Amino acid sequence: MTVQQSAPPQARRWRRLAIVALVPVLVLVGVVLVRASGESVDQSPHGASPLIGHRAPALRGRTLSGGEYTYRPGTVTVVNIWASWCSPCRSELPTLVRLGRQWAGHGVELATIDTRDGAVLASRFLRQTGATGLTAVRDPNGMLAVAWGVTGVPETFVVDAKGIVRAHWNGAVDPTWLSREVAAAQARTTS
Amino acid sequence: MRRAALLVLALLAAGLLVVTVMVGHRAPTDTERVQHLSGELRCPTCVSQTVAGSDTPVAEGMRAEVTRQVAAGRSDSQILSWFKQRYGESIVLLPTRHGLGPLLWAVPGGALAIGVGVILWRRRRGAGWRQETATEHALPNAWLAAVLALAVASGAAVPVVFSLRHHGGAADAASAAPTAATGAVTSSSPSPAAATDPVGTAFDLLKNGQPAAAEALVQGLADRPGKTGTLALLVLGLAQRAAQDPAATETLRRFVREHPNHPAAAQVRRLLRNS
Repeated sequence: MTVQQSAPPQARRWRRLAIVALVPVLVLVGVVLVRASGESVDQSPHGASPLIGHRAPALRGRTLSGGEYTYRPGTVTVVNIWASWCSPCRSELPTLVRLGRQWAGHGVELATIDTRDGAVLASRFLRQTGATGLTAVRDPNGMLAVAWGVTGVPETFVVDAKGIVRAHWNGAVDPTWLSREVAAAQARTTS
Repeated sequence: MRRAALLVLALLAAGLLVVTVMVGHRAPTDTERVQHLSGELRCPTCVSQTVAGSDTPVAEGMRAEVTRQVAAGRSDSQILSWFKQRYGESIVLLPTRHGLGPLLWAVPGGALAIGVGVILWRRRRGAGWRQETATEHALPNAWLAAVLALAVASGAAVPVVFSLRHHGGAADAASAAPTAATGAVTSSSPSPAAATDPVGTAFDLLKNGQPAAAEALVQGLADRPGKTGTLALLVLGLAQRAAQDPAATETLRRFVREHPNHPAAAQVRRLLRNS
């Protein structure tokens, strides 16, 4: 019968102490690695933007039709970000234009940002989709879209009359959702 | 032997400290700041990619915005806060002073304190400790050395990380980071001199096929008096032309009208005739 020799008590104590000292270092390294890898910004269809509940970013610039547009609080405003090279935008825009016409005269404004797009292509796109009267602020470098925290196109924001962002949608907007959010923003204005 | 090892560790720590202080105190150029900040921002539509290393439209827009804000004189923390307000905390890759940052400071400090405490404790035990066998000490001494080395290394790394975060850091350090990837701004800002001059940077962006970003940089400068305004107007017109903006013709006409004797005026007239 052999007796297995264990390390002396002094050595075991030191080993335990060293392990205890190393644990927080390893945990920290692990946490930093996890945070640094793979984590992406939330892109769920709605409610994801950190802008919700905060003042809307500035929206100012030259429009596709050659005018100047500056967003100012005072009316409920739907802000849509699109581009002519974006396929979902093509399917979404007619719906937006239809809703925009319904809202006209009811205290709701539709303003759009044409991001990272050529003026010629974008104007042709509006003609093709029957949206020639649309307010489309040009954003050739994408900086306006970034100011709105946009991750892709299309995206839609509902801003209440006080200039606070109330709702956000990623992708081709659901007209039922949009109508409901616009109505809710209007209700906030009147309450 | 043990004294020699401790001396080596102390010299290593002192060397790292000197390097850290030298690196941290050199004022960064705008190019370095843009490179560094782009490397700190996560590309929101990519997996494990920074804004500096991505060519997606949103990453390009974010780089242009970083360039604009750096040129406008905003601090690194102001710029990162601006992005956090729009994309959430997770848009920043590295922890801040409010997130895991304090841990980065506390862990090496704690490890160093433990190491020093252990040494002092063992010294106080004096003769009894020396009488123990070499076998008993071989392993503990190795662990102790490992803890001390970690403390020294992480203690030296923290100021480097934070000097890069808050001051921009050195070009060497920035190129070692993920920002060295082929970001548009990174590749299109060849010299520090161009980066400190927004018009020069815009011209470089234009040459590198990014007229939109170039246009954004010089948009507000074209009305300035003097050489800066003249060049800004020229770059603006050329950038608009490259981006198929209908306003290009009027901008270039204005350039020729206001600066008929400029060396580039003849070439611009040719462009206008051909368009």
